[in-house]
This record gives sequence, C-alpha cells and structure tokens, in this order.
Amino acid sequence: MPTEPISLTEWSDEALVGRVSDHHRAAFGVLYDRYAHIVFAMAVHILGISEAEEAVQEVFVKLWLRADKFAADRGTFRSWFTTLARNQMYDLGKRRAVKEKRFRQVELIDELIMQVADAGQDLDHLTWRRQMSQEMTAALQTLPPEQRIVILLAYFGGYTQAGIAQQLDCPLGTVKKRLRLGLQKLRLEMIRYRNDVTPSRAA
Amino acid sequence: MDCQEIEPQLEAFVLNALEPEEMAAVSAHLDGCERCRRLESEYGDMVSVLPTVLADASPWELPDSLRARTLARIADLEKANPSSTEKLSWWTWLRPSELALWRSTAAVLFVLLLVVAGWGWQNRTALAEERAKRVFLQSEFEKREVIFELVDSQDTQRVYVPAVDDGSNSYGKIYTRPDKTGIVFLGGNLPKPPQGYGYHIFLTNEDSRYLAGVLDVNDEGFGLILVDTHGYIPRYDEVDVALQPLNSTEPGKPILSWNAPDS
Repeated sequence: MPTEPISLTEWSDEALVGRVSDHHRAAFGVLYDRYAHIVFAMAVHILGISEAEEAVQEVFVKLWLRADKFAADRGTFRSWFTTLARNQMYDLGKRRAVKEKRFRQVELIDELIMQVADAGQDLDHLTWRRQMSQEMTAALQTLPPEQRIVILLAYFGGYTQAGIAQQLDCPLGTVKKRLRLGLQKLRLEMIRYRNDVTPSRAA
Repeated sequence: MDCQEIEPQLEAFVLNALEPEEMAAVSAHLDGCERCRRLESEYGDMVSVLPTVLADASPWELPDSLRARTLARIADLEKANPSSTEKLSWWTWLRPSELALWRSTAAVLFVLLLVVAGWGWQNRTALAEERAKRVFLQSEFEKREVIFELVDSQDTQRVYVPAVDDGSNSYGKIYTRPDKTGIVFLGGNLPKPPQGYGYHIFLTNEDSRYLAGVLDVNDEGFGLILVDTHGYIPRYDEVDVALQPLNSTEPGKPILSWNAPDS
C-alpha cells in the first residue's frame, strides 16, 4: 500500500510546486531551501552582490505567483524554475544597466568553473544534486575553451548567437557551430559519466 | 519548418540564444512535435544544472536572513489578497509606478464597462451611465484589484437581477467566482434613495437569508459595491434588493429580485 512521505523535505520538486500553486507556504519554504543558494549565485555573478538579495526575492515572489504555470509534461521543475530565474536576471540586468559588464562577468564565471578541483571524482558520498553538478563541472572542464565560453555567454550572459559573434568578433556560423558542438559534447559526457559511475554506485 | 530544420537549432533554443523570430518558430514546432520536444527537454534539463555548477563554484554564501525576509514578503502578498495568483502579481508589480496605477485603473474601467455594455445595456442611457460609472469607479480605486478579479475572469459567475416592476428599467448585476471570496454588486437606473435610506442587498442560500451589503447610488442611478465575505466563497439561490432605512436587517419589499431557475 503506498504511503505518503513523512516530511515535505522528502517530496519531489514537482510535487512541492503543486502545493505552492495552492499557496502552501511550507512547500514554498522547502523549494526556497533547495534553490535559493543557486539563484543567489546567479544573481551575484550576473548582477553583482549589491543587487543579489533583491533579485533572489523577486525570483521567489515570481515562483509564488506563477507556480500554477508549471507544466510537468513539458520538463522538470528545475528546468522551468532556472529558466524563470535566468529571465528575471536578464530583465533586472537590462533595467540596472549591467549590460556592459556582462562579458567580463561571464569570463569570471568561466574561470571559477575551471578552478573547481577534482570535479567528477569520488561522487559516491555526494547527494544526487551535487553529483549532477560535479558531473557537469567535469564535463565543462573537458570542453575546448572556445566551445565552453559560447555556452556560458549564452546561458549566463543572455547573449544571442549574433551577440556572441559580435562580442568575440568571429563569424556567426562559427558561433553556431561551437555552441551546437559544445552542447552535444556535454550531453555525451553526461551520459558517459552516468554510465561509468552508476555501476560503482550500485555496488 | 520540419524536424530537419529545427533540430540544429535546439541547442541554441534551450540557451535562449536564437533571435526572437527563430525562438518563435522553434517553439511553434515543439508544440506539435513530440520527438523534438523530448530532445529539447533533455537539453533543457541538462543546461538547468549550470546554475548549480556556478553555485558550487562560487565563493559567495547565501545570507541566512534572506529566507525570513523572502517569506515575510510572501506573507505580505497573501495579506494583500489571500487567494490571488497571477493577477495579483501583475497589479502588485505595477503598484510602485504612478503611470502603472493609472494604467491599471483604466484597465479596470475598460473591462467593467465592456462587461456592462455587453450585457444588454440600453443605448439611450449608455453615454450618461458610462460617465457616471467612470466617476463612481474612480472612487473605488483602492478596491480595483479585487473587483477586477471578480468581474473579469473565465470563472466569473454573473447574474442579472431584474426589476420586480415590469415598467422599471432598474437592474442589478452580481459577480462572484467559485474559487474566490467576495461579491461585486452593481446597480443601474436606480432612483436616488432618500436621506437615511439605501439599497439593501439580501442573499438567500438554502433558506438562509443574510444581508450582503447596502448600496448607495450616484445622481445617475448607478452604484457598485464590493462585499467582503470574510473568507467564505459566496453561494446564493436568491437575490433581493430593497430600498429601506439604513441599518435594516430584515428585507422589505424588493425592487429587484432574482431566483435561481431550480429554486
């Protein structure tokens, strides 16, 4: 006989956001605990520390008000929510004229990611979320720098492919190719990591 | 566009790196293509790990105090309107701007007037009533969000309350929602009540009658009232409106009346 999870902290993100759409504050609190540090990091590195706290609040207010817009059949909560957060950062960035600093901010993000030591190693003791993050970090570190930077410029900088071409002063076709190849490689790396690591986890 | 044209754009699509018209074309294709949607969802899920990568690499720590402040802000939103969702956000975010305030008021006026006009409004008095309603609605400025939500929704239930006297062109309209508290009552072509009198709106639900509110009207005979139902979803199968002394609790002879078809 199926049983209900004892605590909200054991619920999936998708189950929690369903409760948030009914204005369940405790479920909202659990999602905050899971995602606030992620949104905060985005805000600090995209908008700057002086704007970060306000940006986090704006994102979570949006979550509270738009939880009913989440459609589980169109993807995971994480994907939906991080897109919401990213769009909010872009909007705030436009308003607060941080556009000029964006390219440099993304370069700093790239440097930070490359500095993470031993990513992808000894994953067994980590939570699933940390494992995913470590796997992705390791996968990013294996990418050629020119492919990695276009992905980061698009994701964290909010640049279109044409904007990236302008920033890097290279042909649009080259940017498109780098971006496509980069994501395809990331996908393959993530699959490879999962295949490699899963048997040892099961052991 | 077919899958062969869309697939090479999916990577840029999940990164939001296409031009707006390209984004729209891919999005339209995804709506009807399960195969591409699956691949897009896989890519989307993958790139959604990027913020976690950044958070793990970042030296910055989330301030502990931010949690309490964020939850307090949510509590404030709830206090402002306990059951609203998307529409509240719209109004709330417009609030800081004077310009937006006027825009929001104009939107409420426009919607209300459309609703009223679309409901068999009599042409010969239309302009005069419209002017009067504008003036009156402006006085209801503070209640605009709640009124808007009650009268302008797919879930809004509207009831026309006709005059009891066949020769009268007075009318009432009542707006409620099955998922929200509160009632909007609107009266038109009602004679100005004498001093100390008002239009008492009585609702009956399963033989239980209660006074919902007292309506005043302007010189044009128009009035609107937002009734606070104190957290309860309003239900009724009969509406009676009587002109009687203020503070009356028992209904007098109604001048407007409506009964649910099966009651």
